[in-house]
Amino acid sequence: MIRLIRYEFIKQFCKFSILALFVVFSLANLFKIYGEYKSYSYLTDGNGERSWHTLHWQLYEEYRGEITPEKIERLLAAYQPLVEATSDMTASTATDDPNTMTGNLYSDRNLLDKYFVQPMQYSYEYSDRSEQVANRARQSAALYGEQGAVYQQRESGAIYNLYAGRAIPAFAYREMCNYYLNYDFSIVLTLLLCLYGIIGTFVSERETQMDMLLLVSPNGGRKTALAKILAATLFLLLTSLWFSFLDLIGFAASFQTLEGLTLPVFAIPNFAEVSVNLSIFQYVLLSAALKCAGTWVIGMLWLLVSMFWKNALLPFVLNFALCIVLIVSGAACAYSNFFWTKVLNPYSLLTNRVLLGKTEFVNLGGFPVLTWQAAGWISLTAGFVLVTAIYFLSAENCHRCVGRAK
Amino acid sequence: MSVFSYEWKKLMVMQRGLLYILAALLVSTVWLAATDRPQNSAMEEYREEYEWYLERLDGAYTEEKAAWLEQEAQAITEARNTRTRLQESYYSNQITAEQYERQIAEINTVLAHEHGFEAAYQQYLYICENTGNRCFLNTNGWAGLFSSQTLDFPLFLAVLILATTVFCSEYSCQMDALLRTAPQSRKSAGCKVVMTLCAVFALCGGVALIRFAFFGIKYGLPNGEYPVQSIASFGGSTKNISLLAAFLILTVLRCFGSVYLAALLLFLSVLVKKYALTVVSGVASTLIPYIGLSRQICYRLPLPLPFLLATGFLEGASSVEDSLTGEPIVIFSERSPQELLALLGLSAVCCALMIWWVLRQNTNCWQSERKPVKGCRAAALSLLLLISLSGCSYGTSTNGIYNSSSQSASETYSVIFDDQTRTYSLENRATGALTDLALSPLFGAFSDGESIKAVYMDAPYIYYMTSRTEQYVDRVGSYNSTVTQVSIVQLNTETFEEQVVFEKITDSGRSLLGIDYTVGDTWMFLQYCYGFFLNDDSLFFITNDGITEVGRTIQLTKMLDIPTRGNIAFDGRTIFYINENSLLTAYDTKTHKARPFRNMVASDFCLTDQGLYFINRRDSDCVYLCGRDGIGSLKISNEPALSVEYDGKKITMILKSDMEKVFFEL
Repeated sequence: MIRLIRYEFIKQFCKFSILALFVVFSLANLFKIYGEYKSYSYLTDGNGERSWHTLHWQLYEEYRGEITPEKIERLLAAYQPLVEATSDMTASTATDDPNTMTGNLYSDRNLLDKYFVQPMQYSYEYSDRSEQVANRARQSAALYGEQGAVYQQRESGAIYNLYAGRAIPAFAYREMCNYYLNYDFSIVLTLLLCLYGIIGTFVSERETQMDMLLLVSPNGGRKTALAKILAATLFLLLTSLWFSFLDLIGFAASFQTLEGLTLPVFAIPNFAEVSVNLSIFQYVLLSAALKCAGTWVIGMLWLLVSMFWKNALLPFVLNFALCIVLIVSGAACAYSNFFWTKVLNPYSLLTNRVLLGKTEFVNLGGFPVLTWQAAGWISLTAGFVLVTAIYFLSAENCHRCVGRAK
Repeated sequence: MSVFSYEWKKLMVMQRGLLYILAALLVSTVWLAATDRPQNSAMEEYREEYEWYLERLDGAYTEEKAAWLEQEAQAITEARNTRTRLQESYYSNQITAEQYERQIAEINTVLAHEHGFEAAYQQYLYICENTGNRCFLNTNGWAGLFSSQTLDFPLFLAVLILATTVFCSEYSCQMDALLRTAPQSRKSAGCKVVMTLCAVFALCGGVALIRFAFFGIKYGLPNGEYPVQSIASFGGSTKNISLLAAFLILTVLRCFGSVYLAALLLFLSVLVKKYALTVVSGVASTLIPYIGLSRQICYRLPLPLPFLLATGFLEGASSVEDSLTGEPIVIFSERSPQELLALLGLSAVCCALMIWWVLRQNTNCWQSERKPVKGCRAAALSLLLLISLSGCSYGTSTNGIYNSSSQSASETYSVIFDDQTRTYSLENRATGALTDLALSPLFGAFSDGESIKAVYMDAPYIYYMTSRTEQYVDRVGSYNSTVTQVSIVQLNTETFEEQVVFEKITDSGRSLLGIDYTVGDTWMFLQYCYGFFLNDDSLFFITNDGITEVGRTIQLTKMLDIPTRGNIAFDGRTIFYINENSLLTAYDTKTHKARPFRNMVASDFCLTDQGLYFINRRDSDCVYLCGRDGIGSLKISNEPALSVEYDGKKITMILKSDMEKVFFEL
């Protein structure tokens, strides 16, 4: 069986066109990531002595690591005079002021504000805010307990467990992680590449009418279908993992740092209400796993659609249209309070920050289940149903029929 | 039969080309009809009143029109003030009924079109930004016609199918070798190419015509000769073209884009000879630059994409403010006609070269003088890659009593609003225990953009309206990166189960995978909503401009002509309010008819289980009680009152004499 899977994998996916698309899409992805860095980071002004890039990394060495009262005092001692000097907007706008770091008072204030004061303030205040949430959750749980609302009590208990004791003890550069965690472009590339790879799995043999020939082989029929499904699964997982990995490498290379990966993921403001207590690096791994699950389910759906056609055109266009529908509906309800619409759409697993970034529950048999867990399990179940459907809908060969008759 | 007829039958009938064209046209029409919302809701809602102004303002800006509009603004403000003053005088018996009616009739002629004035004045303010090239006209038709800023996916998919099938169907059954031996192979290929390109051109033209007809019928497309800058999306353009010319240019560009895409697909299909690779290359060459690159760069690529989008060629420059430094960042710079022509020329050359190559590949040795050059496939593929790289469910309600001027209450719970913190809490009336609204411990904990805007109680349910403003990423230069979402949550006070019954994004600017686009301003009013109530059929949102009714199933919006200056009460079917003439009025939400109660002139009122308590202006502001049908009027208090409120248990009056609060239980 393993040999059959290997043959199928080599036959279907180790083709020049797929490898060429892999290279082209990977380059396009890296190009886009570098574009994100150039467009959105303020640290792209070169390596000059007074550039933000140089000054930021000099100051960063001073403030990185554990947040201590001394560091906060030192930072405020540098920042407060700048705020006072620029508050009435009458300070000099000269760009060659020798008494400033960057040459301009406003620029100094902005540099400290954006990269040091705001992140440190957020980190410092986060533990109080999460403590407040935990306390409210505990009070709510007690109230629901009195009222006999069991589900709501369980939900509040789960929120308490998630938020109690949350804190961001250290300060680190988080800009790279912020843009990496909010990056979506590679999802489109993954889907397009996977669609191209998957579409030929059954169609290529039907196009050349080799499917009839395959049936006469002892390993033909459903055994080949299973091998094709497993080979396609391997291809989908490898493609998804490759782009998740490439994104991280691309962002690290563009921003020239891996700083921030050890921070808890709620250190990024967009992820303040994240439903997992993980570091950013652990989150990246979880996100890659969820992306794999989402890609696999969508891939199996494509495979099922494609097995009924004699050429690749219509199934490709149908699957592409299906993909657009999933993307548009997924994006439309990304921030919706109708949680089930997110949970049931496998595209949410690809842009999984819409599931992981918020603490949202769905009611499964009276138990509150986090949306990302529900989406994961539902997608896996749907995937197995699709695999079973493909297996049983594929033609059975005569060897098995004869064997069964005997 | 000629070769052309054979090819026609093969491509359009046997390979279902016509069917795909008709399907694409049908899907486009249905989608357009189902999703279209007016770009300017006020202009559509008060169409007749707006058109009354348009009759006087239509055309270019003039000093006289501006002066007239300013006068009209002043006259409307004065008329509103005079009406209030007259009512005061009449109800305090300072003027007679005849005098009052004569003067109010004069005022009503001034205020007859006051709703349409707001839309006209907003347009005037837009025109004042650049009076030289902006005109007064009903913009909804043209704005809708030009609103398609995103890729037309049904058209895109139809072109993919039509163009890919042409040669790939022959390669898949290896008929290409046989066809090449035919003496008329070149003619056959030529027919196929011409037919495909013509079909695609006709399809794109058909879609444009359908859109033109749709907006022409629904909103009207008047004054096609007015400058294109009259429409807000082209406001910054420096091109001196009319609206109709702009539509024709956009249509021609889109048709060219579709033809270019079809030629690219034909070229790819002959190059790679495989369905899947042809389609994926076609999709990738369009979709990757569309999502991956900024609009600025997209409109510089010699690919089908900029022509398929097209609107950017006529738009003006746009910039946003950097969120940190406040400096302007140009997000789109205007494409000059020379740049457009250069890009068009280059694309046309690419298109012609691709078609020539396709025909050349289908030419047999009798017609060809030269043998095909080996390796040209690889070279063409590399060139292509280089070009590409450059480039509602709801529960049944029993309907309690609602008064917008006071917080709702039921037997078991009452809602308390804290003026200081601007937060709502729920008080258990038996135990006195307070619970914060919303119940989620996470609500508002990490974001200042989350708040509760209004609460409506309908025992055992409490409905609260939340507003949440989110920022996708704290990035600069992406103007649609923030989104405000308004939701109505139903809370069952017996089981504490929560359910979202309504949810809408209020902003008209949207973003999908980095592609920015705009939708109509239908839900913009939710941002200014300060109260709401509902029944099984509709939701009613109170804003300063009136009440907007939204159907709970198909969510059509309708502005009700109900002034919202005073209290608004609702009993599940009827809305009670004080009309412009200070008469207590009942509006039936089923029959959509308003019925003023005769002689019930009120300055304030509240709805209770017993009926309507109102401050009677015709009897020295004493408090009266009447039935919900306006029949039977009973004097409750001899003291003149300023206001009267009901909190679910007792009536509270504030006396005019000493501002003392007087309570009485029902």
